[in-house]
Amino acid sequence: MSGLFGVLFWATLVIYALVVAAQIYGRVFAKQRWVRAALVGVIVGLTLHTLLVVWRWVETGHIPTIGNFENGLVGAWFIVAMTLWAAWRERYPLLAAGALPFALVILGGGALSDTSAQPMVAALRSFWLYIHIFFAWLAYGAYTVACGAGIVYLVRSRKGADPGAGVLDGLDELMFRSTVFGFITDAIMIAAGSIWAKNLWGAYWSWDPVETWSLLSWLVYGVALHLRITMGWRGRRLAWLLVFAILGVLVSFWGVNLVMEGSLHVFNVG
Amino acid sequence: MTARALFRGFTSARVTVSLLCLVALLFVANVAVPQASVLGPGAFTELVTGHPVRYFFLVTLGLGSLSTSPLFVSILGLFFANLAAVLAARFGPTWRRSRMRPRSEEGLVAWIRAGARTGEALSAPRPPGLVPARVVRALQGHGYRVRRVGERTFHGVKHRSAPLGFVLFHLSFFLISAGGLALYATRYVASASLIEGQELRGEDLHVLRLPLSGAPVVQSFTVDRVDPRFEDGQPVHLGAVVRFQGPGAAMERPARINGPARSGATAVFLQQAGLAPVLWLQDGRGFTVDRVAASMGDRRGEATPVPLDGGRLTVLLEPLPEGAPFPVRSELGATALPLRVLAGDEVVFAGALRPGEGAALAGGRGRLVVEELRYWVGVQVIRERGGALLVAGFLLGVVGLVWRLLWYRREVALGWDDAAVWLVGRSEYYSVHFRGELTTLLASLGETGQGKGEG
Repeated sequence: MSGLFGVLFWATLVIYALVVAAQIYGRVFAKQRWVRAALVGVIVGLTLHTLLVVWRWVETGHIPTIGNFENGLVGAWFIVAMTLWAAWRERYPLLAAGALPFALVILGGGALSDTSAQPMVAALRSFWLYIHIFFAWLAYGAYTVACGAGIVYLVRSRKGADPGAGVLDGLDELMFRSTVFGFITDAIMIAAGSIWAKNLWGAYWSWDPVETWSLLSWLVYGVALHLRITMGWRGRRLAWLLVFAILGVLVSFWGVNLVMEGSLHVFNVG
Repeated sequence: MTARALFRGFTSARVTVSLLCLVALLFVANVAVPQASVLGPGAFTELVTGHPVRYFFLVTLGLGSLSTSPLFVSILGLFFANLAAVLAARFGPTWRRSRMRPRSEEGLVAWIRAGARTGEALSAPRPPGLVPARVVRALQGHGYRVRRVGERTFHGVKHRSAPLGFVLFHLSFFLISAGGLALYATRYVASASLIEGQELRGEDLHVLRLPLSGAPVVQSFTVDRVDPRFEDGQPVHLGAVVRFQGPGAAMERPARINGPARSGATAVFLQQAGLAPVLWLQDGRGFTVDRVAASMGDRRGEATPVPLDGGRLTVLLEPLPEGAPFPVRSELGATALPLRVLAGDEVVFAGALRPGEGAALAGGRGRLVVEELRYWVGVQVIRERGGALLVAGFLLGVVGLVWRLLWYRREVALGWDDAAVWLVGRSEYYSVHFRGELTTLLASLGETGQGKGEG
């Protein structure tokens, strides 16, 4: 990372961390102002984050999609943007404390890997790659919002807590809607990835660990939707399920990057 | 237990969710248990050789090739049987729900009154000048199909066909599996290495997988105009023109990484490329003794041996020097190839030659000329059918999901008296969001739009 880029990157990380800390403090010590004010921090962080994504795009000449760092940078951007949108629209500012830690983990993990700009190798030059990755980001962002809503639900529905009128119903629905959105975009992601794999490797499906794991995490959310729609799972049970389901998504996220590295070897020249 | 009860039990949500969990567990096993397809045949054989327990689980039970193991196939079979049974059981009710059944005025009024009692119904003072045409327009403006049931009672349904999305989504699994089965049954995979201009012959193919019906006849082709490109030493493009030989005229198809050349069910995938010098051995009078085109190996590998003159001479093509850029087409003419020529153990020439250059071999063994420098490409030839079914299944599945879960069905009853308007509704999903929609809908009744029929 170049000097100024690195400074902005770490500043973004620190802002997100402060937002999470401020919201937890506000929640624990019943200072609602802290929880709400922290959303301003998310806006500032997201503005810097957007600048970083554009900077990287201009620097490399392609949409940041190569390697752990670029995937983490853009993947976390989607998580933060979707969290902010949901928190704002649904009026659950505390959602940031539930979802932003995942953005921090992904950004931090990306920063630990090779951050140098890489050219777009032949294996990655595909229209289907962009569709695949775009829908992956949307799906993972939605799942993270669902998980964040689940965490907030669990906190607010504890014994003795006063959740406020209609808040739990709203959170429950946010979990459900985010899961539905994630499930649909995840399905498109898997289909687009399969078509890309066919063009690149000659097979729609190879049962390699990354493919299998992404199908597994989709299936887990499919089970969650079945439980919700046909068996009436809602509230705390659904919240716990969505909190654990995100672990599968995190594995998928890093797994995708492993595939990217492997794909470089498809084109051995010389 | 009667067959009917058994069928009802088998199609219950509990069984479906249990089967989904079972399939998920198999996926976990697919990642956790060493798979032959991931390790490769050599490493897998090494893993199981001399380990009876591993051999039993991975080979005898087939868990080392889980996706084709009897266990996996059985559970998937059960899953599809459940899916088919659920579809059969639910199709009738789903079809009926997707139709807009006439509602009686009494029924709707009772629904509104019950809603008013429980607080479920929304109400507002009757807007001045409210007439049926405005109500219809307001409901239609929010996407409802409207039926006037009484003088002051309306019934509206939005996205009434949404339940059919359930059928489409679940049918898509059958389409995808039909595509998968067709691909599995017809898939032929072979690899080959071809030098520019060389025609593919049957013996050039290294068959990796045969379809169930036996080896197909692979259409012959040549690869031409290979075009590798680099940025910062990294390969960013590999393209070529593949010329398929048909019964009539040859067909030229472009190919690149991520874009195979296709002719019918056959696809040619470019995988890698390298240099292929054409070596010309002449005798002392300039007559041709031998002339071969040789594919050089990977730059990280060993020297590539090329036998000439019936094996009396061996040319060792050395890899390009470490760090030297791989030559693009415009640089081929100036690329010096490091090579050694051996006659038995004796080195009769060592040096570097550019295309068009030649060198006399020691001991009057003639003259070696590097006539030209071409590229070779490694290709994979795949012939299969069923991909279209698979893609159609993907499409159907996504359409079904969107139709079912995003365009969910909503139903409202609206009535009014002299003092107030009452609105009650139900939605399949997202009741909180729907409540907001109802509020907006009720508010829109008060908007004074001018339209036909409004008096």
